[in-house]
Amino acid sequence: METAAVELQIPRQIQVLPTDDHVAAVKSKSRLSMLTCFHAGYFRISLSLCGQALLWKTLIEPTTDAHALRAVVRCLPSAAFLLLWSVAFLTLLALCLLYLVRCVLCFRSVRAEFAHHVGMNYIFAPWISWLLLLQSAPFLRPNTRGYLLLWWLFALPILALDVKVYGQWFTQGKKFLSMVANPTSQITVIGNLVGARAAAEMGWRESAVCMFSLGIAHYLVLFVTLYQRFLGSDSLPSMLRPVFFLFFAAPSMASLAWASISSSFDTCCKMLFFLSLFLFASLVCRPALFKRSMRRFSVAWWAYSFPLSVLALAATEYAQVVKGAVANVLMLILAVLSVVVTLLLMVFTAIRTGDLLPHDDPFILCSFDSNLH
Amino acid sequence: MLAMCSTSWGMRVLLPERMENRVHISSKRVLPEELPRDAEHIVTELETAAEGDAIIGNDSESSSVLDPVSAVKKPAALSPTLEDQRNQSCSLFFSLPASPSGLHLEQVKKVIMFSDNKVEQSESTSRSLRIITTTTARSEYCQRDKTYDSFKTWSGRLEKQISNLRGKPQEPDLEANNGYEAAAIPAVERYFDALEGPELDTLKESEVSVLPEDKKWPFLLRFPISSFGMCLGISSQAILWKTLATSPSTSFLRVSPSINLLLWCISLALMATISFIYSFKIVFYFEAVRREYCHPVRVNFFFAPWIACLFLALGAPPPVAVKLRATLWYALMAPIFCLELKIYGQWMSGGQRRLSKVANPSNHLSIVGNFVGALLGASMGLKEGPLFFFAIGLAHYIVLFVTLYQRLPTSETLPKELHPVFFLFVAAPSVACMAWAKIRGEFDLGSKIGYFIALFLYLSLAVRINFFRGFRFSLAWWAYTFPMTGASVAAIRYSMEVTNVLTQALSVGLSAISTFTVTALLVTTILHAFVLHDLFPNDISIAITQKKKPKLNKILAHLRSFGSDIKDADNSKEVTPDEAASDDVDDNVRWRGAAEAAALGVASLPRAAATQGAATASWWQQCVDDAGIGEEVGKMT
Repeated sequence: METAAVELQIPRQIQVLPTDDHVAAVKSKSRLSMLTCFHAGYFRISLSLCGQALLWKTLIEPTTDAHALRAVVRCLPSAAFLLLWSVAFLTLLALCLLYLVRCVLCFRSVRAEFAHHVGMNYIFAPWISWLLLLQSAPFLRPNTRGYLLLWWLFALPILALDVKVYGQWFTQGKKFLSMVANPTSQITVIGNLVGARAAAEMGWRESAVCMFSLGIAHYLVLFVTLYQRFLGSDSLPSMLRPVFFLFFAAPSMASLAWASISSSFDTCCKMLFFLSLFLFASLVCRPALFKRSMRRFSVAWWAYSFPLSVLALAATEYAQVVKGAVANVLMLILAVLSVVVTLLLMVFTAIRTGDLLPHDDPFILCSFDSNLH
Repeated sequence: MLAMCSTSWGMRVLLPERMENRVHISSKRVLPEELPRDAEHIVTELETAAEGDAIIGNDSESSSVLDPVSAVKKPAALSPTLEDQRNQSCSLFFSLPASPSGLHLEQVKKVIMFSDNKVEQSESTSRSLRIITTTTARSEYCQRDKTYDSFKTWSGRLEKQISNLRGKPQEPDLEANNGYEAAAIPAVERYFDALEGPELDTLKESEVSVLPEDKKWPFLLRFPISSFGMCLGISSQAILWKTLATSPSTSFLRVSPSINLLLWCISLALMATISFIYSFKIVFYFEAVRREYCHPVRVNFFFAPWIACLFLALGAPPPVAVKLRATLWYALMAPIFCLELKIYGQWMSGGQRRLSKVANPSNHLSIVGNFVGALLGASMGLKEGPLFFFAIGLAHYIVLFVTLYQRLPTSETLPKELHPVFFLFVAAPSVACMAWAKIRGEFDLGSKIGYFIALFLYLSLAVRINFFRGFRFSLAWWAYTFPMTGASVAAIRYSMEVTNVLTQALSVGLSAISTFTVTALLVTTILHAFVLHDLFPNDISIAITQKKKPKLNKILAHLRSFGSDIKDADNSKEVTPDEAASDDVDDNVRWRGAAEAAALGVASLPRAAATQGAATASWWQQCVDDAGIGEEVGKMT
């Protein structure tokens, strides 16, 4: 085991030795190294699936509105929802295990990822996915002890990461906000807002307001900074353009969180929802922005699904309050869109798994570092 | 062998000297294969008027003579050999755009000849250059002024179509056959590089304009979109006087509602007139409208017509106001929505027009539209729509406010000195507070916060009134009066809520200031329109070049001196291009300038030059490339 661990640290290109043993060692090593190359960006998949699960749960819920459209949606069998929830759960579990393996075997890479301006935001993603799963769990009521314990288990890492990341924004020399801000930074905000919503469901109003205010204050700063765009589009490679969809995920999530806190979808929630709707329209009108990233299938494509699910969720809440035809049609369109996009992504993943699997580690540092010793 | 020609007017150049080789005339009609071998290089540089648009063209009336190939061949046939001592003459024909003032004729001073001749030194004799300028009679066809074609719709083809339809005889326009494409719109950096001033409307010293700066351009071309600012100013006054007449806290003034009616009718008429004129500009000068759209400050004024219509709806006298339908609101907000999607999307996607680069106080115009729409919609009784626009406006206002307050070093448009455009800062919070009050049904805390912010900004600008100096009046100033009026209306609304002497005095005082400002502006406008006749000066800010061109006058000054040097040098030694190139950098610059200004299809030179010598060819190619005129020449040919 130790020799294997040592062998992992040798860069692949140096291993050109011709003997059979070494060839076999190289083959096994590359398979293993593929396992450790699952960087945190892969949690987009779990984010999307858990977001979908939450959407389906909300749609299936009985509602006071006797509108026909909602009834149509409710004829989705609950078995489908259970299946989706299980798939989401298993995917999240698998990805977490893989990431654990990576932490153990290739810790330097993880550290490099943590220091990267895009990678560090995706460290929030697993905790957000767990919280979403928790909220959409079919068997766990929010007022049980289990829910509470799990909430603490998932919210504490988010708070710890908050202190690290947000503190860096205004104190650290090379990493202040104007330099590192990019659309994925909104994931940190979404983490706080999801935690706030989960807490509000539990009835823990103060914690909910605390996390909400953390999220919203930093969202304000981030929103302004991102719109200003000091560095222009240079801070993000064109393959990652799908993460622009996060622009409308954050206000939708804020709208949902505030709706849970104030127990009603009031004016503030409506305004946040309208803002996210406008940003969605704005992005959809610019297909040229995404053209380059759509050439090849990659894990970045999964970034399309989660924001659409959250927007559909907010539209559902909105339609419940404003019982008009326009609102219901909007809700239906958005919900269908998010379901279709997620299904398409799952199909693409099944067909082109090769494109999705990591071929190399973008944060590779462990090999070089150890070589220098 | 003089080629006779006649066109509107032209210039003939006779070269009666020993040119043993044939003259290479470059023009778009000459194919390199047709050119005789051992062609000499002749570059002629023509000093034209400021637009530098000399076109080599052939008038088909005298086609047989003007065919440059035949013109070339004639002398060639006569004296092909080195030993031939006969005088050769060749004529080069230039046709310049017709100038109503004959300015071109005066300015055509000199043709510089450069010939790369491999003649033995002994053969060189005096190479005298006779320049004969002739102004032949104008052709009986009405020569259309093609100077402004690049700004017209479809590059002037629309105008020709209309003239055709009207039955006017048209001279056969040969350039049209070559597929005149519209000049490309300059990138946003060019606007920042070439223009300066708080409204980005003054051309920098080192820049030239595409259109002649000394001539008065067609009226439509001089009519900017910022003229809609006048509608904004007057219609906001109508709202003010309506509020003064109807508000209970100012009823002690006993303002008559007829003032509102009068102002409203005036603003309606003004809006109709200006829209009518501008629609003509869109039809006939679409390229100019596109350039205005790409201008980082002017693009915000595209919101002005819709905001003015919203003001008209808001300021309508009560008998008219009750008849307004919700469909009108949707119809007015739809264009605002589309414009916003475009402009805010540009900010968000972080490309060339991202906010940190283009932020300027005029961007407030794009934000205020949201609040005005929300105010009108809430007055009409709509609920969700006004809230939608209020939310969008608020979010983007926060972004813009922070950006402008920061005065980022990357932003190039914020003026160092104060300018009336700064009053736009007051517009958004004052209108937002009124819109929020209408949406909520009462003047609550949120509205009060907005009102106090507006008051503070107004005060900080008012105490600095001394610094508003030294700016040329422009029609856009009208657009900066509506924030003052908006603040007055907000003050009146606040005094309805909190009624005491102070608030009433404030509301009356602010109203008086805004009315006085509008009146002063009206007097100034009338003065400029009827006495000084410069209400619509040439709109330089849309006529910037795509690439930076050195100012023509400077080049020509160099060339003049250089040309005389050449004449002297001729008598002593040959000046080869390589020598000229190896001279000091100055000469190189001059030659680059010469190459740039040449309108002879220089691009075709290097091809024929392959026969002469690789070194020379590459040198000329270098000149052409350096001057960056390859494409420009390509466009002309």
